Amino acid sequence: MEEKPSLDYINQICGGDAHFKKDLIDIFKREISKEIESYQLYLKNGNYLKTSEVVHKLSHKIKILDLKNGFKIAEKYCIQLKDSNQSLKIDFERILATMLLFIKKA
Amino acid sequence: MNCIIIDDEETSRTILGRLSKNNPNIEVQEIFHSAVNAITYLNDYSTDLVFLDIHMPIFTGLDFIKTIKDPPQIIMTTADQNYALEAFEYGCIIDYIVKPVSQERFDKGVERALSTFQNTKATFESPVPDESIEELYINIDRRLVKIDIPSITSIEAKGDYIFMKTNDKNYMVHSTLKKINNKLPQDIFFRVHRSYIINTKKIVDIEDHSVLIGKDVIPVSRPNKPELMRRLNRL
Repeated sequence: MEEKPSLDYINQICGGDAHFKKDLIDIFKREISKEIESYQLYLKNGNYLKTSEVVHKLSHKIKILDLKNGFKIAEKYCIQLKDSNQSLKIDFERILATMLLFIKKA
Repeated sequence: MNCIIIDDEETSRTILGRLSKNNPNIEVQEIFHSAVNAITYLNDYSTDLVFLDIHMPIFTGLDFIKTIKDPPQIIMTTADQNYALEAFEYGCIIDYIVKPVSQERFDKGVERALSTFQNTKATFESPVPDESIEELYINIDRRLVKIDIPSITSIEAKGDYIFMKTNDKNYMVHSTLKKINNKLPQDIFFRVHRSYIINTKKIVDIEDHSVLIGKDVIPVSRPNKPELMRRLNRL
């Protein structure tokens, strides 16, 4: 069964402060979009080291949305990219798509 | 206890800022998106604790530690567990917190920092009573001029110089606030703002975020106000 993202961690941090929650989610959305753009650009240009760095940043956001298996995939992909290996590309990008869809509705 | 936060991710900076706000034992002085900016800041100002990310572009968290002289206590914050062993090779690193950081884990790190901070403070403060230091020699035109420390009213940072005011004379000296602050008795002098140190015995009055010393209105930064108020003998 596919893993589902959650806002549990964000809710814990916000402690019922709706205004702060909105701000934090807006920052998260803005930052994840930029990181995905950078990821696509670096990958397109064959800059695997930089791609790996961005995947590392994205892995933190995967963890924030409590995607434990997703994080494991991101970690492995991050290491693979350093050897110019893209075998987890599809799995990783599927996680990104799930996150984007979820956070858009949040 | 004061702290700074260094992290290139805005989401992390926002979360750490929030966790700090919820902890009554620390006050955030500044938040930086790059370690280089933080180094520039620490050349002039001191801090008690740094929350430091490892993975940052160009200049990493570990580069930061290797670069600064006499580093304050550092809590590493990272999504990567693989640096823990290397990180603890540096004596200044007192904790290693894996992101995302919970309030409980954050508070535990602060507690650890606070305990070390209080022990260090006690060790350094007890042997020499501050009141015993009465004079300071400053270099003016290749002469060493003796200054009576209690006569100093305020000191202002002016680029590479400091502007020292005393009861009867003013001096422009090639130095930094950080350097002179280490030479002054800490029970009398207090850094109220990034650009000002004042002699608390010379305070005329305090209003919101400024203090009157003689005829000079000197700004008091928000994080330093509580400590200034704590030092006053208030009715």
